[in-house]
Amino acid sequence: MTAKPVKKKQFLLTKEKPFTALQIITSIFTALAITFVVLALVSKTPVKDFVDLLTYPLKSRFNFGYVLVKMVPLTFAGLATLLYFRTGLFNLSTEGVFYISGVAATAIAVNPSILTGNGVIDPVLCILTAAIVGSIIALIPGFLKAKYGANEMVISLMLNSILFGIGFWIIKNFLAKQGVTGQSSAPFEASAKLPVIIPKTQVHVGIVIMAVMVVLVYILLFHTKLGYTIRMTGLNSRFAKYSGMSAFSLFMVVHLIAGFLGGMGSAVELLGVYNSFTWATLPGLGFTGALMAMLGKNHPLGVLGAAFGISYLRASAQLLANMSPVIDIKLISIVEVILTLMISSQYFLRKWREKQLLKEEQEHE
Amino acid sequence: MNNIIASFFSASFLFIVIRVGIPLLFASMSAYVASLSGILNIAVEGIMIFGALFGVYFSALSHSAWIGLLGVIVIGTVCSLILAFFTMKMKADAAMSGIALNLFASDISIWLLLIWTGSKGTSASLPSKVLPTINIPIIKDIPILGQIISGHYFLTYVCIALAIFVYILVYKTPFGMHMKACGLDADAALSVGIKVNKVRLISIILSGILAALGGAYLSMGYMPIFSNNMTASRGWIGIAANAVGQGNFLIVILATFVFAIAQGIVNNLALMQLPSELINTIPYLCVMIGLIILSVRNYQKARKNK
Repeated sequence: MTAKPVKKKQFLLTKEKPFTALQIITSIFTALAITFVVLALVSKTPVKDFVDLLTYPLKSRFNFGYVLVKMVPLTFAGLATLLYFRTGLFNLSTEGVFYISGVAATAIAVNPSILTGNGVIDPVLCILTAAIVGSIIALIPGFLKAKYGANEMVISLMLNSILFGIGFWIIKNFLAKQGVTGQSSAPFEASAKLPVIIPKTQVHVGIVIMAVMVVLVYILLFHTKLGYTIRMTGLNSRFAKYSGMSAFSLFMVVHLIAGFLGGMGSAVELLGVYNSFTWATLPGLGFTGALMAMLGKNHPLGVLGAAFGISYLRASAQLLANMSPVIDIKLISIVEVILTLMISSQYFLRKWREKQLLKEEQEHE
Repeated sequence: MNNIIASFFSASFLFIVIRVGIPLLFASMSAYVASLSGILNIAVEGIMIFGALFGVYFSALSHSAWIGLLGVIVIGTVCSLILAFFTMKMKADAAMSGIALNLFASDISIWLLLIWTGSKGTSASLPSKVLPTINIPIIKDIPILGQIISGHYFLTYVCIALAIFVYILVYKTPFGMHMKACGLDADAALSVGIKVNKVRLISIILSGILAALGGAYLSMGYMPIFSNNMTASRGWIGIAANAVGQGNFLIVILATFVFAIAQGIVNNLALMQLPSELINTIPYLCVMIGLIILSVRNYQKARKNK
């Protein structure tokens, strides 16, 4: 045993940031190991399946592009949710906001009389409409929370189901293709679609919008007074009052921005990937966004990383689903649940860390 | 139109209210016992899905509905133990863990269905068993009452028995007092010698079993199969009903049945030529309005006391 270098490494790992990294890496390994065990139980070729799952997105440009496409809505939902979490709000309305904003974007995108036919103005029009609708919707639980202290979690969940009903009704009755009673809308006008920016992939301009939003949320959180108030209020709910901003206006602003981001994400996803509105159930992006916010430790860059990681596996599983009897996108939920449980555990590896810290202390004496 | 209105006052309508209300009551009791002892269990929906899925699976494997039911109880316990381990022992974020478990349940149930049956939709190809329907001997012959309360599924009566059990447990036993103490102030409870962790562990296991039974009700009675997304937000409704009740069990039950009545009305209205998507939002709207009225009243009360 070469004691010296090992000790040096452990010394580093007990510091705050490396320790967090160690927690995350251990969680990822555990999650993947359990996925392998599950595959071994059901598959005849577990090793091949597992290796495929981990490497398939790297095998072609299209596959990797698919990862990038998948991460766009997750990042948007994650950004919206992290603003709530940072303020200490447990609001899950991004799910419903995604749905109803998507309907709003569709209302514009299928309507040639509103659109200009210009490939730049039209998507902007759709995305802005969706974002504004998202903001307005998010203000419903926002106002009830800010004014009356209503339980934002339960209200936002009920709101999701209500928005879904209303949205689906609008799609079926007003936006469906003429003469067809289906569950999807009429096709989007070509000028409203977001252009593909990397040839031979599905990667659309939405990924650029996403990157800009990540930077903007980062600046908002860490380089503005509002961001400071948001962060401090999350740590201590009475802070807002002392910062000169009323809790009421802070909550309203946060809901407004989060709703805006959610609505935007929905429109970007629809116009970038879909040809018509086909969500016949809630898309699940709001809840997954909550996971992204948590896995990314409520940091915009963390959300980006989490969305990439989860999208990598989801894209891989979805692409492999046709070739393997056991791999399906739903399988990735194993990784998601284990990561969430482990990373959100405050005590995970803490005993080990305390032991190491104690050892260091003794050695210093 | 008159027929529709008349149908709301018939015995069969009340029968339907009980039929749709029981899984909601399982869910709200599950949320209630957990929140009373100070644990946030928002995995109710997910545990219901697992209960529904594994009830079908175990009963198909064992060719016995009763062994299936036993499996459901085991699954409910296992889920709640996982939740308890991470939230109580590892101090994981309870809300996040719950959401993760819900997403996991909803996704992995579809995957398991795919592995077991080759279909992502329903478990129709699994030869699962259904729990019996019970006709209560004498009562079933009483004219109107018999039509309303007899002829339900086995788990309906289990649910009613469990509701009485929960009521007695919470209001008439020392353990119920301990649960409330843990929910109000864990440190204070600890300081008077209550074993907070033990009380909470028991509560969360009870909560898990209740949720799992709610799931089993859906797939082993209400429907004879498991189908994708069959819990349809019932777990969330239970959580909402619990929030409306604010710790009072009878109000929780009342809120649950107001919701069930709304659902029953929706089922009847669906027969008319009305847009079903909009009608289906009525129950959720009821819960939301209930919650809003409640918070406005609390807000005004708090202001008056100032």
